[in-house]
Amino acid sequence: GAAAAAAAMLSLDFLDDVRRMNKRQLYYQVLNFGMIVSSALMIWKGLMVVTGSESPIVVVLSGSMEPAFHRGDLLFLTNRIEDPIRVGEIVVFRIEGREIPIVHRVLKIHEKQNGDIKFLTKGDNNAVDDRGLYKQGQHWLEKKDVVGRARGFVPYIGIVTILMNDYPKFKYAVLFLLGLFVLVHRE
Amino acid sequence: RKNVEDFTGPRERSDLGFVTFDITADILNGKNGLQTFWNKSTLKLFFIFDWNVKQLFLYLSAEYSTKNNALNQVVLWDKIMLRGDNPRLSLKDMKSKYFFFDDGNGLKGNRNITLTLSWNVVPNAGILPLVTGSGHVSVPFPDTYETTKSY
Repeated sequence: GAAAAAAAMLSLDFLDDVRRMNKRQLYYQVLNFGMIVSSALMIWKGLMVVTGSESPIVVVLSGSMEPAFHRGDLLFLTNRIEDPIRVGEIVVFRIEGREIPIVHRVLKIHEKQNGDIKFLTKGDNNAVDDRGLYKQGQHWLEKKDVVGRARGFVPYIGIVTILMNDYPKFKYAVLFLLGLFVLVHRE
Repeated sequence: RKNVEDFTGPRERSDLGFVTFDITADILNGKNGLQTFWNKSTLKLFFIFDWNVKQLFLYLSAEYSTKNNALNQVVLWDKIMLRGDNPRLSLKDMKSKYFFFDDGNGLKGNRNITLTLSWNVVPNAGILPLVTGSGHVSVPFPDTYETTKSY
């Protein structure tokens, strides 16, 4: 009835607005959008420099560190060379040739006088250590395998990233809505 | 302490250590109590569980030096203590949870193995500190290997 008519009127106004936005305004909005993206990238690069890690924020993907961390939790990492690797620390590492980073705890270290270190890891929720996960013939991890050490965390937030990965339709929906919002929002 | 083939790692003979220990821990609800007391091999631990502490990851580690490696650290035992769990730990004659293999043969005759209790505070959200309890116990290993009977 009246509500449906009001809704129809509003959508017509909306279309008029879009038509009224001339080319110049459109370019302006696109530049605005570009600026936001660049700033975000700069902040990310800055974080990489400050923390010394190539991936200063990671999302926990598995349940191997429960009950401390669950799938979807966000971890903040640092990877400063001055910080020595010691048992009990939570490290994020990559196994040579594999892309997915693993978040586990250091169980054993053997460090030489000159600083060369080899260490073994284990997930809190796993019954055995990680030797079975390492590359064929690899018995230890080394500094070069480390992406960073977990220094802080926030629960749940990373779920969005996992959802976007597992459900591409969700990712497109989010991107579409974001794009729509930026283009239509006039300052 | 024996010299045994480390079947979980590289195929070489390494020293395997056996340690037994007692742990008595009182996790209290108080303010800023982070101390450990050692009485021979019994240790007392005081800690607070406040609103932002989800769990404590406790671990007993052995630290020592060998000819091969300037620094070795091996976790012998660990435990997850959730907020709400029974705050009293009374463990007697515990065997180590994980094999105490050395990288080589550095346990024989090693007089200075230091056992320390540490814990990782896992908050509901925020920083993840690693704390080492004050005080430690030194454990010397004998100069000879224990021999096992073969049948």
